[in-house]
Amino acid sequence: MNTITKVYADHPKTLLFSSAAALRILLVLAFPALPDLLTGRVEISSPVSSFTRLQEGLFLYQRGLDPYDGGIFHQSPTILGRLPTILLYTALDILSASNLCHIAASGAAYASRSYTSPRHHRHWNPVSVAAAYLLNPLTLLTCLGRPTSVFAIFFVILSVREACRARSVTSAFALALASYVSLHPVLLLPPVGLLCYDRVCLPATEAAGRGGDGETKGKKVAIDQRSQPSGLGFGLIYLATFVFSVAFLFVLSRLLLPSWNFIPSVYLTPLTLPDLTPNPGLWWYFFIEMFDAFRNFFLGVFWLHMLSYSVPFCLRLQKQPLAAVVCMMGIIAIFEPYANIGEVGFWLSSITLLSHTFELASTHRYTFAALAALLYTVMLGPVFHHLWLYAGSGNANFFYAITLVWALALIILLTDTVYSVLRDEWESERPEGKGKEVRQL
Amino acid sequence: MKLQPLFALPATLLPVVFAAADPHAAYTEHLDLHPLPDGHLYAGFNFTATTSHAAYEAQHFRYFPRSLAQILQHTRTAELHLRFAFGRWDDESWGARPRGGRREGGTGAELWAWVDGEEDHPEVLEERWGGLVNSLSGLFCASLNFIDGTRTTRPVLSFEPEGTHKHGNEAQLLHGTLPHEVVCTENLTPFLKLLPCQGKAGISSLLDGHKVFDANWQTMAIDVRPLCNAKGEDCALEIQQTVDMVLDVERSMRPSHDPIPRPLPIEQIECDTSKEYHSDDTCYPQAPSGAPGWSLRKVFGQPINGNCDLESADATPNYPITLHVPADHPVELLSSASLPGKEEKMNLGSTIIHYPLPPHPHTFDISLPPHPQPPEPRNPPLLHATRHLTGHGLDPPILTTTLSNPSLSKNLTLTYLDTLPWFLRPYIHTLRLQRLSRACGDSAELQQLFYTPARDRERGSKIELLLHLPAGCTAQLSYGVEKAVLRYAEYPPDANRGFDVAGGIIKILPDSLLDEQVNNDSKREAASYLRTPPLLLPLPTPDFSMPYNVIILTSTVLALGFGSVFNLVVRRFVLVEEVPAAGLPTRLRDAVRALKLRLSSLGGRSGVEGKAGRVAGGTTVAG
Repeated sequence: MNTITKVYADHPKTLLFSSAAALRILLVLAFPALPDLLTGRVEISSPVSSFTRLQEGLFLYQRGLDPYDGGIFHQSPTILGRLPTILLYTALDILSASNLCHIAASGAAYASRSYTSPRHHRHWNPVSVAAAYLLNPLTLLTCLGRPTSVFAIFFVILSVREACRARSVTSAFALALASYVSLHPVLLLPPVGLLCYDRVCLPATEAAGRGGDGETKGKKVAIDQRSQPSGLGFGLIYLATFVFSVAFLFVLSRLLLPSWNFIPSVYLTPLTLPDLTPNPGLWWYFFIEMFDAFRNFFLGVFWLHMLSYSVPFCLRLQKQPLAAVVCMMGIIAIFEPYANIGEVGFWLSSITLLSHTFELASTHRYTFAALAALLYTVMLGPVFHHLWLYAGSGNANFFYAITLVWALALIILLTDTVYSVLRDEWESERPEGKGKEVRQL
Repeated sequence: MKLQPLFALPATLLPVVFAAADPHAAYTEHLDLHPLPDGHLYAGFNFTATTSHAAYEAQHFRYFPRSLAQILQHTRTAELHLRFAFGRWDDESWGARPRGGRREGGTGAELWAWVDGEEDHPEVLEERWGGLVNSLSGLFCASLNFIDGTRTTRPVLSFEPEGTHKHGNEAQLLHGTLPHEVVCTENLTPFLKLLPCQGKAGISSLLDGHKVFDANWQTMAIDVRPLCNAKGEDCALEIQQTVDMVLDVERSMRPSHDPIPRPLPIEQIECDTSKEYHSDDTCYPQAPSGAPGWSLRKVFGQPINGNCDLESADATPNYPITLHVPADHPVELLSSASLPGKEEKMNLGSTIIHYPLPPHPHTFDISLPPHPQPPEPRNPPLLHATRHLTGHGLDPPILTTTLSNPSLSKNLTLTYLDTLPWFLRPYIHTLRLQRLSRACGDSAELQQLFYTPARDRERGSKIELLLHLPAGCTAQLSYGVEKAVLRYAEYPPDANRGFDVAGGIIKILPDSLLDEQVNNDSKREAASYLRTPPLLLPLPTPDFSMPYNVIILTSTVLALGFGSVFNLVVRRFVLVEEVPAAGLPTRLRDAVRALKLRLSSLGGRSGVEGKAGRVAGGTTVAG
C-alpha cells in the first residue's frame, strides 16, 4: 500500500496510464465476448464507424474489390491497412489521455494572450484531467467497442495539443487527419486555428508584460503589433496547410484504391444520411419520419445549424480560444448525424479542461439536473432499445424519447459551460460582480 | 360494314400460306399425371410451339403468340424465362422435382432473360430490360414492372442459355424476382390466351383457375429460346408454356356446389383402435392410407374437351397424355370415342400409360378407383435444402442455408445464388461453410464466390457461390446480415407483416459438365435446379402516426439548444442592481414619458403652440 502511495505521489501519470491499460486488457481477457457485444450496440457503433463494417470493408479490399462500391463501408481508406486490435485502441486512449494532460498543463484554458482567469488557481491537476478521460465509463466502453471514431478523437486531441504548443503546421495536419477520418472535425478549424494563433502570439505578449511593472499580466497592455504575426496571414497559412494536407491524404488514398468512389461514400454519407440506423443522436428518427419533399431542405437546415456555431464561438470566446474549442466539440457531440457515446464521453472529459469554472456552473446553473438526466438516459436507453427491437413490447418512440432527453441533458451541460466561461471572463473585468446575481441584456 | 370480312379474309389466309412455307411451325401439348403419396396428384402440362426465325422476323405467326413475340422483338430479347409460383414442393414425401426443377420458379414471380446489349452501354440494356418488364407486366397482369434496379441482378454461374445463340451477338443475362407477388387467376387467363386453343380444347381445357390456384404447389412457366442447327443456320424460335401443380385429391374433389369442408359423421370416420383411449364415444381418426380414387372430371371439374390437333389428320398419331401408376392399379377409360392407351411396363412395378385424345366433339376422361396400396414417390431428390434466418435478441441475425446430399455415392457440385434486397445487408466476411456430418471430410468447400454489394436504394446484393458437396454430406452455409431501418414511406401498408426475401437458387451441375471430354453441346446433360422457400423478414418499424410529432419535438430540442447558446453568446452580463427596474409601473411611466417626449419634439413651432395652448387652457380653468 505504501509503495502504491509513494508511486502515486512520485509518478501519478505512470500509475494512471498503467492501471487504465490494465483495466482495458483485463476486461477483454476476463470477458472475451464483451468486445463483440459492445460492437453490436447502436450507442457505440454507428454506420460510419462500426468495427463490423470495418472488417467487411477490409475483407473486400484484401480480395481486390472496391470496398466503397456498396452501402456498407463508409470509413476512411487509410484504416484499410490491417485490422486494428484492442491493444491499438488502448494505446490510442493512453496517447489521447497523455495529450489531454499536456493541454491541461499548458495552461491554455485559463490564461491566454489578453486574459487570465481570476479563478486560474482552481484548475484541476493535469493527471486528474487524464483520469477523467481514461476512467470515463463511456470512453472505456467505446474503447472496447472499437469504432473508428476513436481515431478521429485522437487526432482532434493531437491537433489541440499541437496548437497549444504553437505549432501551426502539425496542428493543421492533425486536424486534417481527423477531418479525413470523419468529416465533422472540419468544424473545429476556426476555433483550433484561433487557439494556435493565440499561442503563437503569447510569447511576444508575455515579453511585453514582463517589460512593464509585472502586474499587467492579464490586463490590457500596449503591445507592439509589429512583433506579432498578422492574424490574416496566419489564418491563410493555417487554412492552406489544412487544405494541402487533406489533398495529400486524398491523393494517397486514391493510390491505394481503384477509384475516387471513396469520396462520396465517406464524406457524403454523413451529409445525406442514407443509413437510418438508430443512434443516440437527433437525426435518425427525424429523417425516418420526414416527408420526402422536405428531406433535402431539412438536411440543409440541420447542417447549417451545426455550421452556425463555429464562428460565433470564436468571436465571443476570442479571449479563451480553448473554451471555444471545447464548446464546439460539445456541439459536434450533441448534434452530429451519426452520434455515438464515444464522442460524448470525450467531450464530457474535455470539459474538465475548463475545470476552473466548475464552481460557477455548479452554483448558478442546472448541472445537477443535467447530470441526473444523463444518468437516467444511460440506464433507460439500452432498456428501451431492447423493448423496441427485441421484446417488441415498446415501439420506436420509447428509444426516440430517450434520445431526446439525452440531447436535452447535454444541451443543458453545454449552455452551463458557455455560461460559466463567459461569466468568468466578465468577472475578470468586473471583479466586484463576483458571487452576485447577474442579468443578461 | 360488308367490306370487313373481305379485308379479314386475306389476313386470315396469310398465316396459313406462310405456315405451309414454314418448316418449323409446329405445336405439341402434353399432360403428365402422376399420383403421389399422401393422396396427392401431380399434373404437369406442357405446350410447345415453334416458328422459324425468318417468319418471326417477318412477323408472321401461326402458333407462336404474336403479343409476346412483338414484345421480344421490340426489346431485343433473345431468350426469356418467366415464372409464377406458389406453395412448397414436399421433396421428402414426393421425391424429386418435375423436369429437374428447370421449369420451376421461386415463390412469387421470377424473370430472367438474355437481352441484346453491350457491356459498354449499360443504359441501353437497362432501357430494354425496363421495356421488357413493363410490357410483360401488362401482358400478364402481374406487378413485374416493380422489377427495377434494386431487384435486378446479373448472375454469373447460376443460369446458362438453353437456346443456341449466334456468336458475335452478345446477349446479356438479367434476372429479377418479386417474392411478394401473389399469383392468381388474372395471371392464368393471359397465359391461356397465348395458346392456340386458348383453353377451349385439348389438355388446356382442364386449366380452371379455381382448381389451379387451390393446389398445394403450383408453378407456371414461359420459356422462349432460339434453336439452331450445329452450323448456326436454319434457326427456329421455341416457346414452351408449362403448368406444374400438385393437387390434394380429397380437397379438389369437393363438389363445387358445397365447397366448405365439414366434419364427417362419426360413423364414416375410421378410428385408430390402437390408441389406449379408444372407446365407443372416443375416436382418434386414422391417418388416410392408400390411394384415393379419382377421375379427371372430379379433380379438375371437367373432362378434357377433345384434342387440340391443329395439324392435318395424316400426322402420326400422338399420345398427349401420360399416366404413371403402380402396375396393379386398375385404370378405367370413361370416354367411348377414345382409343385405348398404350401401356409401357417400367421396372419397380410401375406402369406408364400413353393415351391419345379423341377429336373435338368427344370428351376424354379416365378414372382410378381407390386402392389400399399408396403410390410410390418419384425418384429420390438429389439434394435437400432449407434456409432460415436465425439470431434474436442480442445475437446478430444470421442467414443459414442447410444443404444435404442424401446420396450415398454421388458427389455434387452446385452453385448457390442469393439475391437480397438492399435493406438486408450481408456481411460477407462472416461467410462460413460448416460441415455438419462426418461424411463431408475436407472436400466440402467453397470454390468460387461472386459478390455484388448492395447500394442503398439503388441495387440489391448478390451472392453467388460454387461449392462441392460429397456424398452423404450435410453442410451449413451461413453469413451474418444486418437489417436496415427504412424511411417511413418505404414501408408497405402492412409493415409489421415483414418483407419477403426471395429464396436461394441452387443449381446442381450435371456430372458431364465436370468431365471436360464430354463437354460439348449435343451431349450436354441439363443441370437441375432447386429453390429454397422464401423468407419473411421482419424489419424494425417506426411509429407511422408520428411524423408531425417527431418533426415538432426534434425541432424544439434543436431550437432550445440554438436559442440558449446564442442567448448567452449574443447578450452581455449586467449586475442586477444596474439593471434598470422593469416593473409594470416603471414601464408605464417610461412609455408615457417617451410619448410626451415625442409629442414635444414634433418640430419647433408646434412645440411652442402646444405650450401656449396649455397655458391658455390653464388660464381658462382658472378663470
